[in-house]
Amino acid sequence: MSSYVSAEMARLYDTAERHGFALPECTACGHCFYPPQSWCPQCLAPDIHNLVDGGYARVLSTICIHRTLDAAWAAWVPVYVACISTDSNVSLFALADSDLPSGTPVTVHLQKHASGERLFYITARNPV
Amino acid sequence: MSSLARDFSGVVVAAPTSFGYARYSTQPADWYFAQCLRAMLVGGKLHKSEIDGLSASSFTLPPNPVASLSRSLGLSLNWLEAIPFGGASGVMALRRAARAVQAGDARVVACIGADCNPKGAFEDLVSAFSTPAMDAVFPYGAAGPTMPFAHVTRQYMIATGCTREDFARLCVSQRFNAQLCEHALLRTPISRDDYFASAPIAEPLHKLDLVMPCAGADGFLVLREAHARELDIPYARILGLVEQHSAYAQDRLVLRGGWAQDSQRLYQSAGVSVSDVDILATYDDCPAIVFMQIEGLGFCPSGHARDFVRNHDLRFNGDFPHNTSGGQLGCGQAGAAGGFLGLVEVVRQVTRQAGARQVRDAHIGLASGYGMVVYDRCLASGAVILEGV
Repeated sequence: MSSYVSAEMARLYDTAERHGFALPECTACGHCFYPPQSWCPQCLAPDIHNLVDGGYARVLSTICIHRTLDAAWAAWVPVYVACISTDSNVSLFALADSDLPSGTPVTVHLQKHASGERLFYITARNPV
Repeated sequence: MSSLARDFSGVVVAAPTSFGYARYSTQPADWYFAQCLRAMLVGGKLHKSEIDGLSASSFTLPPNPVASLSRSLGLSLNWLEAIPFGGASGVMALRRAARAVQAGDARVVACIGADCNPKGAFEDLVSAFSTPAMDAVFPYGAAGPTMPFAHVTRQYMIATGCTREDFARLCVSQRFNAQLCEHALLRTPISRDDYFASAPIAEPLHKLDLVMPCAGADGFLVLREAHARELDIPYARILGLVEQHSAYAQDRLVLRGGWAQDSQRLYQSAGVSVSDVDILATYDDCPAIVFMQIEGLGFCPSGHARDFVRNHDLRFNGDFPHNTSGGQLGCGQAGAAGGFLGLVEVVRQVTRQAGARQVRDAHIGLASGYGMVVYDRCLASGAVILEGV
C-alpha cells in the first residue's frame, strides 16, 4: 500500500492527530484550502499554518470502491469514500462506514487505518 | 477576453491518423510516435524532411524528454511543443500548432498523442499522478482517477435525476459505433442488459462505464490551406477553438466543465450555431462527463442531457452522430492519445475518410477535450469546431 505522504500532508496529519481535525490556512489572507501545499492558492503567500478545525461538514456524495489498483487494499474493499464539504468551505475525501446520503451532517476526524496509514474518516452527527 | 483574439483563417488540419491500438505494449512510447508519424506522412503525402514542427503529448515518454523526439524521429525542427494535458491535449495541441503556422514559425506541424501500456504501467501512472492525488485521492481506496470520477457521477446523478439507464444508452451507442472502427479494441456491441450486468468498480461506476487503458497513438497535421491544396489532400478548416483551465474552481459540486464558460464564444467565432454541428466527439472518461459536455456545449440546457440522449440516436447512422469511432469507451484509452481520439475522428468524418462509419453529409464537426484529474476534477478543457472542405 502506498505510503507516500508529502511533507505538508504529514504536518497536517500531525496537527489533526493532536486535535482531531485541521485544515491549511493562509496566515496572510485567511484562505482555507485542501489538499495542503506550502503557499496560498489565493494570494500566493508562502506562510501557511494548519488551523485546528471542528471538523463539521456535510456529505456531497458517497461512492463505494469495489476494485482497487493496489493489491494491499484488496483486503478492505468494498469501501465507502465520501466527498464532503466542511463548514469552512473546503472539500475533501474521507472514508465512511456506510453509504451516507448527500446532505448528511458529519464530523471528519483523523484515524489510523488498519493498514497503519493515517486517513480522514467521517461519522454522521445525527445517527442515521 | 482579449480584443486581439484572431481567427484561424489560412490554417487547416489534415491526415487524421490512429495507430497501434493494443491492450498491452512491449514497445516504448517513442515507437508509437514514430509509427504514427510514419502513417501520417503517407496520409499527408509528405516526406519526413518537410515536417518542421512537432507537438507531443504523452505520459509514458519519460525518462526520454520530449526534446529527445527530434533526435529519435530524425527531425530537424523549428518548433517543438510538449502538451502534457491528457484528455485536453488534442485541442490544445491544435491551437498552438495553428498559431505557429499562422505566424510562420513552422510550415507543417505534426501533432501526436502517444502512450505505451506495459502491464502495471497504468497503476504506476495513477498512483503517482500528482502530489494532491498522492496525498488526498489515492490513499482512499487506491482506485486512481476512477474515485473522483465516481463522485462527479454521483453528484451529477443527484443534481439532475439522471440514472444508469441514461448512461446505458450512451455506452451501448458507443460500442455500436466501435464495431466499424478498425483501431477499436472493444468492437463487440453491448446490450442494455450487458451494461447493467457489468461489475461494479467504484459505484455508481461499473466496468462498462469506464475506459480500458491501452497503448496507441493518434495525430494530425497542421499546415497552411494553400499548402494542403498543393498536396491535394483532404483537410478541415478550424472555425473556432476555446480552451480553459480550472474553470469554475469555486464550484463545490462538479456539475459543469470549462466548455460551458466559453461555448457562446466558440460558436460566435466559428460563425455557426449548435444546430449546424453534424457530428460531435466528446471526451468520454465516463458517461456523466459526456453528459456535461453535451450540456456545456449548448446541445441542451444544463441538467437535461438525459432527455437529449433519450430523444436522439447517437449511433454514427443516427440523427445525432456522437463518438462515431466508439470513443474511448469503444477504442480504449491510449493515455494522452485519448485526448486526440475524438478530434482525429471528427477530422476523418468531415473530410469523408471514415469508411464504413462515414456520417452522411458530415460537414461541421465539434470535438471537445477534458483532462488532468489532479485532485477532484479535470483541470483542462477545450473544444474546437472544424469544417470539412
